[in-house]
Amino acid sequence: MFQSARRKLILPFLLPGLAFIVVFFIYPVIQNIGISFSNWNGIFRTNGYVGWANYSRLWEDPYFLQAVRNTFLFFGTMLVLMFPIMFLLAIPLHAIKRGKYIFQFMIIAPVVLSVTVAAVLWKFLYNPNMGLINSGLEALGLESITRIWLGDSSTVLVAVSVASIWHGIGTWVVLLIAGLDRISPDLHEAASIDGATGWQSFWKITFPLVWDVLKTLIILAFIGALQTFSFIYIMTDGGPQGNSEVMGSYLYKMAFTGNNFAYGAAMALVMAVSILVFSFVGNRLMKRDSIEY
Amino acid sequence: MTGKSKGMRLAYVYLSLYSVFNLLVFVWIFLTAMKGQSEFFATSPWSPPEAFNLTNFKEAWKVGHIGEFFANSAYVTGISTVVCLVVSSMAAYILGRIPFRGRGIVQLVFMLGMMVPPFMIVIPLFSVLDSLLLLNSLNGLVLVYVTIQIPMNVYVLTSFYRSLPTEFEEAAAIDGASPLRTFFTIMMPLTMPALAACAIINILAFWNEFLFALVFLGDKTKLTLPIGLFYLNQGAEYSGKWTILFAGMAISCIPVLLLLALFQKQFSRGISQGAIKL
Amino acid sequence: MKNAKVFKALSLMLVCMLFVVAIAACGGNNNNNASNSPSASASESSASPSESSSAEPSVAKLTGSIEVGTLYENDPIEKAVADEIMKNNPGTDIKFTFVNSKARPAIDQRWRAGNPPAIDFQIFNGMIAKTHEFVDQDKLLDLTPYMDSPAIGQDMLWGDSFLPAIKPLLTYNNKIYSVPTNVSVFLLYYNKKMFEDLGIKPPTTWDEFMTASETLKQNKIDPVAVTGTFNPYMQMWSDYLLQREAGYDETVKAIRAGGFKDNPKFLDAAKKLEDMVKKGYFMKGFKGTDFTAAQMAYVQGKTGMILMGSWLSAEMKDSTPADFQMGVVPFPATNGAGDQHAVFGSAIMFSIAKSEKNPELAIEYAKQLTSKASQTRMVEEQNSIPSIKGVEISDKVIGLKDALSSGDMVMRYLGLENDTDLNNAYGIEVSKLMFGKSTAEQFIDGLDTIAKKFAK
Repeated sequence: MFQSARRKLILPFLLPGLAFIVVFFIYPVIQNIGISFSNWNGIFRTNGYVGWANYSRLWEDPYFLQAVRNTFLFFGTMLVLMFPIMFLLAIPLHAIKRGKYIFQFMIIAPVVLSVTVAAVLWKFLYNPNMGLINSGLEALGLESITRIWLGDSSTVLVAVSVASIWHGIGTWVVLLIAGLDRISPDLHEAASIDGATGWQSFWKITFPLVWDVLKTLIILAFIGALQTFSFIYIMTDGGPQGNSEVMGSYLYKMAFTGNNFAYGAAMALVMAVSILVFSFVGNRLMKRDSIEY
Repeated sequence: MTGKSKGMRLAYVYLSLYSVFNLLVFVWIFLTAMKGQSEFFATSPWSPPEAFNLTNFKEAWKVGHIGEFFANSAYVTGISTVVCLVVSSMAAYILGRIPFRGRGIVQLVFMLGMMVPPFMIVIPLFSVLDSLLLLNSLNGLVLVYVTIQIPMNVYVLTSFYRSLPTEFEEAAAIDGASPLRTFFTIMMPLTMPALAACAIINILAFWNEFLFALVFLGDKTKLTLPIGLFYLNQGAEYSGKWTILFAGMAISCIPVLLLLALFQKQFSRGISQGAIKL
Repeated sequence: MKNAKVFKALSLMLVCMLFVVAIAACGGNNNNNASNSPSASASESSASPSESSSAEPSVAKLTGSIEVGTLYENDPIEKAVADEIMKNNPGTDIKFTFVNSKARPAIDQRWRAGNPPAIDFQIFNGMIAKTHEFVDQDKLLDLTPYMDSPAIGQDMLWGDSFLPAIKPLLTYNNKIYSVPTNVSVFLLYYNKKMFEDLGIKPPTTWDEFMTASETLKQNKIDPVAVTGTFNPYMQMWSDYLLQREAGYDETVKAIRAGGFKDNPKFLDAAKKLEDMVKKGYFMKGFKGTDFTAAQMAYVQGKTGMILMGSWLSAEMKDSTPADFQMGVVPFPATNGAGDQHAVFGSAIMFSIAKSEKNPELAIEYAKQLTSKASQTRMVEEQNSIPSIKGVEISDKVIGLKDALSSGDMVMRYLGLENDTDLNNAYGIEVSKLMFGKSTAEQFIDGLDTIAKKFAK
């Protein structure tokens, strides 16, 4: 009775969700594939079929290849910078008792700011003449370190990723703490009785136990890095000399600024496929290392 | 023991440094927003404003439309979150509790969206919204936002529904409640922790969404906060009116920081629970 | 597939709705043409052209609202024109929308959707082929008939009031599609007082320019302000040098088909820029300085010169100290093969959307903005260069009048004529040279490679 009554819900309950997915997701995805084979490279849409022309153009476009390289570099920078910072904030925050609330607030606060606020703010912090960072370094007598952070090809990607990390780190710290919470404190105690140093106990106990959480975070970071757009767009628009151009910003530049929509659509497809492939491969690779207790 | 307290002290030093830096940044935004136009360029970025001048705030509100942007963002974020949770809950309930033929395929259709970047749909979505007469409209943006978060919400909620014991439903059925009522009055409330987690993640995603809002909204009265502030930034670059931009940023910070201060526990719990399910 | 049915029904409904809207719109247009044909009102008022110089609108009765694009938010003169129209025509409403720079993509989207603002800037230029699609797709209002109506404040037809040099920019297939609000040219600005104090003569030749820069540098002043974060503004330097050394047409030809290595003049141009970079004449920190900050450095006396469009003085009005005096000269002559005195630039132009339901109000706005009174105000308050005859150029910017009368005003500009991808590539090469990351030879090689690559 109940079962059959319940079965009547199947269609009406699934339809709204499916309608959203079909109209605003699947249909556009199919359209996008079509556009990527068309000659729509102007303000107004045209539907001429040009075969693989847009894709071969991608392959020969040094600026696209540079953008791909930068996108992966950006992910690399995120890995190298964000994950240590994340641990360095999460472990103390997890350990302390007093003042936890206020410290956590200060770490999370940037997360709720609008992405534009974070980006514009850092653009100003980095400003060589009006920014806090260079003038602060000068006041400390560290002129030699001052840089034109966003104008220097060797620092621009790192500078933007620092801004983006600052904005998002709160979420990551909270996620890591959730992982740390699941580790029994007895383990650490046992380790310290055995004479393990803090460092050893981190590598031998904490790290392996949060590895499952970390795996998810790395995949999430990868997907996020491949889609990076807003920080780059607001802070550097790809400069200097394309050294901070990433796939997202280059796609936007070509499609929406330059009205090369077919070209942009081809780029989007390449981006989507690389996210799928690399996430899959990454997942497989990390699974092998997974430590089970 | 000494090693441990030394570690504690280090933990505090470390957290304090980071917190002070963030505090400094926030204070800097507010102080800069009080500087005059020429003062802004003439003085060191570290120097405090000459006077506590609130005209920039007034101008950001009136000329800069910060209030409208904020209201638009709140509207889009709020409606999208609610719609997304309801629609996803319905689908997740079916997928999690009622076996039917083709369930695997339906599930796959829902999951597809998780790995596909928004760039893949942004170009054609424009025509879709256009043909539905929903371009340049906040409601059009709501539909897109709901769609991009459905996959993740359905995923998290489905596994939650799956984990619920069957007793509740059976008890309700014995009491003669209709399946529809059972869903809304018993099952959905039971998923509250998962719903809260999804809500938090959705709110963050919608509040910060940049690309779709940038592409689909053109009308100044309809911009969301990220785009409105961005255009204010553009305007500042063309007119040198940076102080108004800073005032706008300051205004936009206050309500969200207050909300965070009030709901910090729910916030962090929501994020972590959402992720554990992923 | 219930889904598909719903979708079909929905789209059918939409098609019906669109059809109704389209019919309504066509009807509206017909009415307009019948009731107040512009040529009719022209012949009417041309009998007494002096009367039309009053601020009163010449067209019978205006109602409704329009959305007007603007390149600068809160421009006082545009605002005054709108206010005046609204005051004289109760029931009308004029709203402004920012359509410059990064707001462009959103505005382009609205064009695609058939919902553009009534007036939009910089979308059509008769001399630039890539902008012709607006006309080819029938999106712009043909302004030709309105050009025969009298100009406001002048004893001539509206169409005859514009500077002859601009005419080709407005025209395509012998029809007019754009209205110029003013002319922008690229000039070398210098700090008059600073130059006098240091005894530097405003440079007219490249050697004088380099000497002036050296003197400034000796006096611990950064010679030239420039932004390193916005390639198009860095391109001004290479554009001008290439044009002076090799000539405009030669440069356009090379950028379209390659050949930068065949003409040694291109290398000469690159060497001059490289020389400036090596001698450190661009301001300290320019690599991370955005364009406002660069302009600020100039008006605040931190640098001696800036190469910029003539909109500079209006743009920086609020931030320029009261005692600051701008001086301008044309870009220095180099003894190259190109026109040594040409002042390059373009007209700032707007077009009216054909889909606009209220074209008469948009035309009124267009005419009022190009009236003698408005143009005079622009000259007086913003030092802008008028787009119409009979308005004198301001003498507040020292040398502006001379620069424009002595040199040939060439209403073309390289950066505007390139497609986005080509221009992006070109900008990156220029940026490399100016950042000291490539040599003059590498720069020329780079340009040649790009040109050949995009030529196919």
